[in-house]
Amino acid sequence: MKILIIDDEVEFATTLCQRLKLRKFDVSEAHSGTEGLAALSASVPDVVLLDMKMPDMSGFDVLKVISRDLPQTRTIMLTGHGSGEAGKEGLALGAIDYLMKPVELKELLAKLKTLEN
Amino acid sequence: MAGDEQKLCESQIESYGQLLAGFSHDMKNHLSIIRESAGLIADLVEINAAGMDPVLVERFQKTTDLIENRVVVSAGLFHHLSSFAHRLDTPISSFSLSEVVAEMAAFVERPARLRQVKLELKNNADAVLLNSPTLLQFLFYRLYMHCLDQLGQGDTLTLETSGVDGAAVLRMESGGTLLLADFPNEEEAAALSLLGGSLSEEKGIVLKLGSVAA
Repeated sequence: MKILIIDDEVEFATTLCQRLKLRKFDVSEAHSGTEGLAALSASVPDVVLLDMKMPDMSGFDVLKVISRDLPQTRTIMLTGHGSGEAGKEGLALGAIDYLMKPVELKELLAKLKTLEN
Repeated sequence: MAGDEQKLCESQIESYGQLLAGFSHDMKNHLSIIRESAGLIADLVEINAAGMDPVLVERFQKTTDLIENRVVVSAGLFHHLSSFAHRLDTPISSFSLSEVVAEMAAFVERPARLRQVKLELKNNADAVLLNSPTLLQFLFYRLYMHCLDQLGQGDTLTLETSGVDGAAVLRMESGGTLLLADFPNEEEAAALSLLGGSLSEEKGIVLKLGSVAA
């Protein structure tokens, strides 16, 4: 399974990337919305783990592009928002799920396994 | 309070809410990095455990477990802080009584712990209110501290929320020992009046507020 992590928190994205690689996933990372869109046009992932709040553009704007141009790519939103409202907004825009930060790896792995099957 | 002063006060509270929400968001990002970093250490130790001193492996595992557990507790607190902060954003909103009480309980557990009082939460048939969450938070805190002042080592304070006959009810109870006594004072009475609520003693202290929907 090919995964792209788009998150402006470089240390978070890089560490999560390493942990997923240890579990044999094909993972790459982008550290801004713009970088994420460039990565998406270079190589289409199966799953995008997408942060909602980034300085250059919001995760929702990236999600709109994915929903429009890459319907086969599934997006899981990552949110630090207190309520689930932002996550629900993501679902309305085409994300298949959302996770609250700090993400529990077991929960993420369970969601990825469901997608693999 | 004059209209202009009231507006200024509301704007200040909204600003504090926005500041707190941003702060808790940042803290969650820091916790995410701590959690993933500790997780990565645990992963690497597990992969390389065969070539390592078993005592060292166990120490690593215990330490990374400890970090993970504390991250979970801290994340829970910041989750509540974030919800609390977003409630300050709007003077009047629709909210669940049990959610507000659960949020507040996360913050007020410490004074109970220092008095060696156990805090218990019970939620029966939740009620939704259209009211001022900030005023309710204020009144809850004052009422809670009033109750704690009557309790001591080994006591249990139960916070029970329910929706009964169109009213949202919060009962603070500890074996029938809690009394209103000198509660509310002038400020607390003003908050109670603005919330359109009432207080009574019924095997504890009962706060009733009109609810929107059960």
